[in-house]
Amino acid sequence: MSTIGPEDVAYVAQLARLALTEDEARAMARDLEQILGHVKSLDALDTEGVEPTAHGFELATPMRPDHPAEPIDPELAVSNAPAAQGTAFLVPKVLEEEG
Amino acid sequence: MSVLPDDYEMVIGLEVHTHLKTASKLFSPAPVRYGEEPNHSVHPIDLALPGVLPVLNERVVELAIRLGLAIHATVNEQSIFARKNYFYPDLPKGYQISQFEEPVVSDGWLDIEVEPEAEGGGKGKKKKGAAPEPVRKRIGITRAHIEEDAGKSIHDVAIAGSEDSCIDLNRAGVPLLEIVSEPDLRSPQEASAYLRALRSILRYIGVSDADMEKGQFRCDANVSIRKKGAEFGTRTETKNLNSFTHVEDAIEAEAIRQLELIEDGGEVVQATMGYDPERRRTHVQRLKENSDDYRYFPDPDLIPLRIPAEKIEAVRVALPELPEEKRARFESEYALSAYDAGVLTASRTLADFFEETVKGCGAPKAAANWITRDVLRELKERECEIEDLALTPAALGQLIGLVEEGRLTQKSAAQLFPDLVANGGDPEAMMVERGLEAVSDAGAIEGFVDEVIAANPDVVQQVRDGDDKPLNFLMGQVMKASQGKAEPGQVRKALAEKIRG
Amino acid sequence: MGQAEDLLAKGLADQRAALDGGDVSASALVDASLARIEATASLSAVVSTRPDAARAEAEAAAQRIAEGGARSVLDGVPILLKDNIVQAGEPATCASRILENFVSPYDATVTEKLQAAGAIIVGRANMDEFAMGSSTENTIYGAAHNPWDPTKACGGSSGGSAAAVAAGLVPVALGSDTGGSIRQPAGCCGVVGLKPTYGRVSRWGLVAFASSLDQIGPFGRSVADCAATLEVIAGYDERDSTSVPEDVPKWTAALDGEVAGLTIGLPEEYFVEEGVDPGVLARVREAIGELESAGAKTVPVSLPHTEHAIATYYVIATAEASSNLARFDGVRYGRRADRPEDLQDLYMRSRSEGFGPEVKRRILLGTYVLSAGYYDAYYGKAQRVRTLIRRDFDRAFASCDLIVTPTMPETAFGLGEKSDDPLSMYLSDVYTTSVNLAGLPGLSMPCGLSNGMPVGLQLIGKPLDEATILRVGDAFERLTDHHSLRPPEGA
Repeated sequence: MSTIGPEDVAYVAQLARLALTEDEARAMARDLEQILGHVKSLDALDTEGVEPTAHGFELATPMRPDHPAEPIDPELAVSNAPAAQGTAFLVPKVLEEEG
Repeated sequence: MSVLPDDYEMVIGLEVHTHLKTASKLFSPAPVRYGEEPNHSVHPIDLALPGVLPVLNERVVELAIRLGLAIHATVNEQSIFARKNYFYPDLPKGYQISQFEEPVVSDGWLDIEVEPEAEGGGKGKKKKGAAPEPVRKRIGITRAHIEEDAGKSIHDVAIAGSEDSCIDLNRAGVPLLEIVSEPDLRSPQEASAYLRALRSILRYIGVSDADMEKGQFRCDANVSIRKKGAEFGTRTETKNLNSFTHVEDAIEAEAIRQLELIEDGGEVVQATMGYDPERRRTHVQRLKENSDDYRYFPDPDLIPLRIPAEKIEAVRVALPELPEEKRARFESEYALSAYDAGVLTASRTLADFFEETVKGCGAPKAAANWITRDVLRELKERECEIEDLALTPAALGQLIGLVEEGRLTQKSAAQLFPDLVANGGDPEAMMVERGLEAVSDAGAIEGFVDEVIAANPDVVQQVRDGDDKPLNFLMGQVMKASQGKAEPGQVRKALAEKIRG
Repeated sequence: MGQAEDLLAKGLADQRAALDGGDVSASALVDASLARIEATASLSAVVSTRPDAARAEAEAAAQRIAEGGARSVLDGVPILLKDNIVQAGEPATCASRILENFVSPYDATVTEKLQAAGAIIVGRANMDEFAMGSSTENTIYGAAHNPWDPTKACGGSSGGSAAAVAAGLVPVALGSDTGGSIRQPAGCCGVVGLKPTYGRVSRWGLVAFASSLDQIGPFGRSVADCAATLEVIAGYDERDSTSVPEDVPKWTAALDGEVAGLTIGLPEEYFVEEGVDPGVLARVREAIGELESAGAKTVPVSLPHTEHAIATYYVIATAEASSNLARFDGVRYGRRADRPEDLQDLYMRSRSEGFGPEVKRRILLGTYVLSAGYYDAYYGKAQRVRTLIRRDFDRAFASCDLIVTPTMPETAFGLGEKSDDPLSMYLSDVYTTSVNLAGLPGLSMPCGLSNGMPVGLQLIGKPLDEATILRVGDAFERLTDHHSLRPPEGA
């Protein structure tokens, strides 16, 4: 929770699939350090027994009935695709399990 | 017999992902369909288009409650949908909506039965000459939670080319229940017994069709080994086992691999394993040294799932009879053996067929025999389900009734049976049509008996001399002479009288 | 054409009367809007227009109106959508390279409602990329210029929508507000901007930045126009699980100019002098004085956790954003890097080339605060502090009907002034972010000038009580002239 170093930036950049140049990484580390320094002020607050807020209101869980709707036109589904094969999205070969 | 030395044991936990039986997806209204062309069953929500939002399918909640009750678990009155964040092309949002810290169902169990030989011998009661009784064991279920399925990536070179994969999101968003067992299983046989029992429950209560071939029932096995009495060893996870045989074999293969590793002085490390059925070996797919950082947090697009106690009660009241309950009832209500009751309740459709048949003939034992023997044989030969037979419970009931009344012999009934199975029909009409009515006229029977006695003087002499055994042979001869139609009880009586006076 | 141009500069009531009365046709009004958008291209308020479709719709509207069948106060009226609100068949770029070629196949709920009301969407407004910013400088379209002084920023992230209304391109426009992104640009550009209670307006079709904070809301040249527009776009939507199942009140009917008997809370934490433009404080105090002389009472209240709002906001908003933006991966839509070597290369380069530096900064921050080992310390903590902030407001509202504050500590800052100092940029949201964290309705309206630039007055209401802040805002407009101030011509 103290200093953000280049390894920290590299770690989260990988998690977020962002490639940073060395300069960018350094700048990011500095910015994040500064912002987190400000965030540190939250530590001082006593939040013992305080529930986290998820949302504004205590709503009953919204649900919908199990009625299927018409699927989207498959052509339309891939209409924005950078690469497609028929109605499937095309990507470089998927090798491993989840990244 | 365990593949491990006596001082070692396997420790197995199973994670099952099962498709819930709904018409539409978990958070999108797209229809759940199998075998469609790519992206023919998707909605903007499934494509993770900018600006879309999830809305929960109420039937998923109902089915989750049913499963929770059926495995004697706690249905939590509040549970949270959480985002599991990672990048993969079949995961359109870049996160999966799942449940993490607060699942909908927790702390359940189900009972399994295994043959005692599988336990390493000696545990079952052994009566001389009788099969040892199966051992009952309670397997804990840690939790069950709701999550969405991912899409599919298709690597077929013929379709995509060698450099690419095709992404199909038809399956993305289909509702799953992930059911996690405690590490209570101790053998591959226990594992498959657990999976069978779980699958049976899921089908019984209509929560899932659990068809493994359609990918509706997928199993991952967590396996470790340890010296008996020691702490848990490090476990590995073997994924994508899509048949019960593979599950058993993979567990065994992995246990052996770990044993060999340890015996060689090595250490088992956490890893995701794959199973190769050709070589019957497991292999490391991915090391889990750095456990994945999924950055779970409650999904801000969804409200916590609150299930009022009245809802749980309503589902409980409407819950179909569970396999265990039905089995016990069959034993008591129909005076069936545990074995017969077990066979007949293997599936709900078979059990229903049995009860309908009994309604028609009032003879549960006979119905049990016919179904466990003849009907099951037909199903096996035809490789079909009971719903696919033209034979109806009403027809079978009638057939059995005719035999009970003595109007039809067992043998004649057996003659009619294949036709009923293949084409359906009215057994009584068929009986009359083919002249198969049992012969119970005393005179006619006498005639057949006399004929047979005359033709077998030596055998008759043996019986006169006190040997009962050849009576069966003579019986058979009378049945043959009467084309199976002579009523067996009367034949026996007549033979006895005529031979011994 | 002159008549249409004049009408374009007026409010909805006048426009409705002229359209219905046959003085000006919807086609002429829409043409005037499109012409003015073109003429003020140097503002970079508008990033794309749909002239053919708009003209066709205007003709249909004109037909309807001629037959006496105007569907609503907005029928035939030109309007702009912020570029993060989708419309079927139209581009939605969120001012980002990663969506530069994206065409939405579906409509946002607010888009459907506007169209059902007969409003004519003439185009899409400039914004900070993915709504992340307070200046509308983080955009692939070039910074939006403040109509009051083109060397100054419009505020953000809905700067384009605010500037468009201020410059008279359209009478009303839609924006989105996550930490102040409607109210702050409204303050900078001298127009009214309204953020409704969280859940009041459907988020279906709003490209998500921070799901638990985002809301769509209207800009207008008067409180009444904002109220009228909100009536059209608000309402329960079953497609949005965070939508509030509440009826939409007839807010416009309740604008009676009465403030007597109302109690206004003045939070001491928002009226400190250090770091605040004295002109801003002066205008705000004068405004409060006007309301008091009209019969409103004031009481001091305290919102003690105000100083922690920015930190809380930036942890929660960036965490949610880092997850919401994961879908921009070059697989199914949007920009994909050229000739990716493999899947990881596809992800890395598409996202790195597609996102601007501010977006990357926030994604990294958000990823960090959610990452293993840090969740409790940052995200978990921030969600609890959020509860404390809400409780502050609950307590304050026990003694007042609404809360009044400055919208920002200063007037519009210069273009480029804060670009190198992200933290300083974040801190300019200090008066607005708490309102999002507590899910309350808030509006900003002009209350005069300081050094020639507009000063924003913020009114904060109880949950679902847009009615009170609209009423007080409208009353303030009757008491003063500030809302009639227009940017100097030729700006």
